[in-house]
Amino acid sequence: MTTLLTTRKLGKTYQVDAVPVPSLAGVDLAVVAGELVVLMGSSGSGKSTLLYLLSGLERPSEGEIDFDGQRIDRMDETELSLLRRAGIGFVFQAINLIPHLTLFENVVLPGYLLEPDRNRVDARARELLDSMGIGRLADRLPAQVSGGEQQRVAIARALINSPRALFADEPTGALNSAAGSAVLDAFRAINARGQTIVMATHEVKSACIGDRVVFLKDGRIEGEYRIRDSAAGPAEREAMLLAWLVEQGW
Amino acid sequence: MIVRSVLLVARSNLRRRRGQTLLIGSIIGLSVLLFFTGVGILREIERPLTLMFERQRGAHFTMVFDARIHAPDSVLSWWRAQPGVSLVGEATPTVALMERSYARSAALSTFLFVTERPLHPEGGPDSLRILEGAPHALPAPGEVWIPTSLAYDAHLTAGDTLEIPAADGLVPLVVGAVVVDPVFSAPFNNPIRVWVAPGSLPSYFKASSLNRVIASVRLATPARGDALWAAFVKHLGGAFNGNVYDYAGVRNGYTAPYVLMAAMIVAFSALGFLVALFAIQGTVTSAMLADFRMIGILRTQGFTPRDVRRVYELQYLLLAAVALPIGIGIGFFAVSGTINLLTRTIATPVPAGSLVGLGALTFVLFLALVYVFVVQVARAAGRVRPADAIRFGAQSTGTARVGISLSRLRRFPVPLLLGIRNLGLQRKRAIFLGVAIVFAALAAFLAVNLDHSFEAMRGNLASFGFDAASVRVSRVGRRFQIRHEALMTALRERPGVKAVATWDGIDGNVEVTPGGPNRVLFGTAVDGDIDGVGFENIRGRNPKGPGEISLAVRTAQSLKQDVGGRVTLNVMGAPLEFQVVGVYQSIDNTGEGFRIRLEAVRIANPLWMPVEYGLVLADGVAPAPFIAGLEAEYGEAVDAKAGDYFVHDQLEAVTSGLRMANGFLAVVFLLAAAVFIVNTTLLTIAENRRIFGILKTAGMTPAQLRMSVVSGVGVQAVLGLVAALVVWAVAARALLSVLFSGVGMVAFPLQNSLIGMAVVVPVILLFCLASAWVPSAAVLDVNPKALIVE
Ligand SMILES: Nc1ncnc2c1ncn2[C@@H]1O[C@H](COP(=O)(O)OP(=O)(O)OP(=O)(O)O)[C@@H](O)[C@H]1O
Ligand SMILES: [Mg+2]
Repeated sequence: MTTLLTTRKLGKTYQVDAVPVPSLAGVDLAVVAGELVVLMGSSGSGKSTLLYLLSGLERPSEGEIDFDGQRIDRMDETELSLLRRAGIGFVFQAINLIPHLTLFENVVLPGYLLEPDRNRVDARARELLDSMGIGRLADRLPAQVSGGEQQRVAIARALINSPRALFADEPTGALNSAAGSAVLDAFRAINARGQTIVMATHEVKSACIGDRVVFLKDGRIEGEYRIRDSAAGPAEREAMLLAWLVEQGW
Repeated sequence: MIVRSVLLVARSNLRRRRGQTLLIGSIIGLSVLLFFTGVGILREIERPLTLMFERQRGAHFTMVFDARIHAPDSVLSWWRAQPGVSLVGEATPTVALMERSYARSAALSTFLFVTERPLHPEGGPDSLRILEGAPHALPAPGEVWIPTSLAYDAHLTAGDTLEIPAADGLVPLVVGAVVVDPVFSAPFNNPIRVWVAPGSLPSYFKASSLNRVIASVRLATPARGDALWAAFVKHLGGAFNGNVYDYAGVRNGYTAPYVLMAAMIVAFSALGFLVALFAIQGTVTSAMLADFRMIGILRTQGFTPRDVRRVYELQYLLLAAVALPIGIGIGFFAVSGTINLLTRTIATPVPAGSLVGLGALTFVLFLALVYVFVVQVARAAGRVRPADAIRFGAQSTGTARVGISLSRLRRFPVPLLLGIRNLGLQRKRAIFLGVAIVFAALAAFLAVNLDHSFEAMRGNLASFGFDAASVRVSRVGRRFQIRHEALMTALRERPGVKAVATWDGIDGNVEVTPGGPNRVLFGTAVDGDIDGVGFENIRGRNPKGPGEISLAVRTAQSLKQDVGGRVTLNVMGAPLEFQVVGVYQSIDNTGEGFRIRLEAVRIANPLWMPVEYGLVLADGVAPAPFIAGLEAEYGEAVDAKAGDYFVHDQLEAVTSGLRMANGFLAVVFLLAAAVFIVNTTLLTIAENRRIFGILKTAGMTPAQLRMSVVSGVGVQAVLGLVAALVVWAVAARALLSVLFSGVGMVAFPLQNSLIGMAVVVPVILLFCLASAWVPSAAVLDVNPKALIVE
């Protein structure tokens, strides 16, 4: 068990009209390779902020982030870009595909940034789309497929460069339950193949695909809950998690 | 109240987009400056001239004729009897010098009419305004009064000595005054009139050569000039045998070369203004997109669509209202400065009042144009529906397949691939920007290569109508005269000489239309190997025998003659028949003139001898030691110079004006292209914030993000430059020939500057890239949060 990601006293304070607004403070978190960590907490608790910091999209105000032996908090913008390109994938809540590119083209584009052999990128993109069950839609434009299909394309895109870690911010938030399930299945499948995932969600059902849940409140980690420890069926697992969450003051 | 708030928003918009405001303001200012300068020169250049002509009671007809052919008294009384004639001067004795005069021991390029000042010039035509020298009423004995044109040309001032070829050799006369002569102060006049004391001519010249007179006629109604002249010729029995200078010719001497330049400036300013309008359009569109939310908010707060439109209309009206006066103000100095320079020989400044009116008119015209245009463009801004604007911003999503498929571009690096794709997505915008770059590139090519062509003129005089002699020799010594034939032979046989020819100024009279005014043409009599010294023809060949003539292109046009035709030229009183064997172009004497053989002149005057000789030296013979050797041998009898001194000051003035105008133009167009590029870049980023957010998340570095914006512009710049190079290669020579045909160049000897192009092309490319690179920084502000909020 190797630790992929470690934070120490991680904090983020936004300046709103010169007034400091703390969104995250004193976060110590360790993510083991191959783990699926779920971030939960009420709205405004700092889930998104933490994901942005971990993925190098934003810079911390204080503390350290160690990603695979590299100090993200000390990187400049270009190093962060290279890290995002090769080591990190990101999936947003709102589906963010480039509207004038086909699904296939959306997936290969980040691959072209990294891999000089574009045939290999193309092959991997087809493989990913197939594994998500949307291979036959590859040549459509985003507006020509459903939301759930779009989000699976976004996941495929995030995985094109085989990142060490995949971050997802409420990936099912904009989808209906059927589409959401398909997306969750995709996450579960890639995690099963060893992909490290950190995902923020509001939904207890979504959270249950994780190994453990990290609960955030007012920018601090309030508690942790290991899902695998409870050896019960899906419905029971959800009920237990919900009970724990309520206990935390969700 | 709403008007106040509209004004408020408009002003804050201008301030917010300070860079764009400045750029567009400067294009508007520059184009109005060009326009005002061009139109101002076109309209006002005549004004100092007419002013001077009125004040000094200038003569509309100045006739030089032989008193034995036309009796002066009868000529004068005929004119006095005509209605519409206001003043008729005395017929004063005149000698037309057929040989060179000298000042500071250098031969003058102009020939002189030496005439006596009338005893009582007061109240007559052609009063003289004395600029230098003692204000006597009349020249004193031993003095000569010269017109400003000669004084400036030969660098003569009052007190200097002018040597004229008189009966017993060169006679030194003291320049008593430099005067504004209404008729002979114009540039490009040849011959010109100089004045000596009343009754003094017989003391310099033999009585037998004192047959000519000058008579001046001033009209009350100049419009009747042509009719009166026709009647005069009829009165004489069908022909006037002599020279006549009319007001149109005087005016032309001042205006001809500059009208072309001014017309070019106006054309360029129109292009520049178009560019400014398009830049405004681009800016308004991009501003609207960026302001989409603001417009929505304004609408919900009770702004009507009209009010929203007014925000944008007012913005650019405000901008124009500031930029226009600045441009016009600078143009004011440009116009009066240029005209005063062009008309310095008459020392009459442009009256400021007439320019003020033109300035006001220009201001109103341009403001109206900006207004009308902006109203059109802003209409789109008013169409925004408030709810959509707030909810969706300006985003649009479509299912149409647009742009070039990625698989076709997959070999390119990602930033370049995105840049090219973006061009395909915004085809209209891409074409427009491309055209702007083509314009800028063409303007820069024009500036660089025209400049080079004029520079090359010195080494390439033959194609501009001059000779290509590397050494010029003048026969100066009158005391130790070397005869023409002897000198010619000696020069031809001298070691190191490849070709020798002579050419010297001669005037001839030709009737343009039978019975109409005679035209005096200034041409050259040539002898020797004129092919060898580089005289070129655009059609036909150089004259070989006494019956052959070649005509300058504009003369050929006005005489409706071409190779194979016949003309009758009155040379020194003898009507000679010529066959036209060639047509040549020349920037000298604004493309007018003729070339005949020396033998033809000798028919009229067997004693006539040329003064100027041109030599082409054999390869490897340096001019300087050759000249030294020649002068050592002949001493004072000859004066030798290197061949390129001949380019006239005035021609230099024309070319330097053009160079400046072109440089100016290139700057305006490059500025305009920069505005386009900045606008387009900002617009592209504003429209694609979401996509840039995705790309940033996917791991594009800041430099790559910027490159993906810049590379599109780079591709366009490359394509634009290629297109401009093609257009230049195909059309430049033809275009320039049309532009320059007015000054006698129908086949412009364009000399492309390879070095200049090698510098200009990458500079334009870099300039375009820089213009995109700077605003591309806006892409770095894109926050991934943009991806969640919307
Ligand atoms: N750019 C910003 N400027 C100022 N404050 C911010 C900014 N982004 C986030 N915040 C604040 O930081 C806190 C944490 O926000 P964050 O988006 O991380 O919450 P969240 O847990 O993701 O909430 P939600 O469940 O609604 O997505 C909030 O109080 C928010 O208002
Ligand atoms: Mg969030």
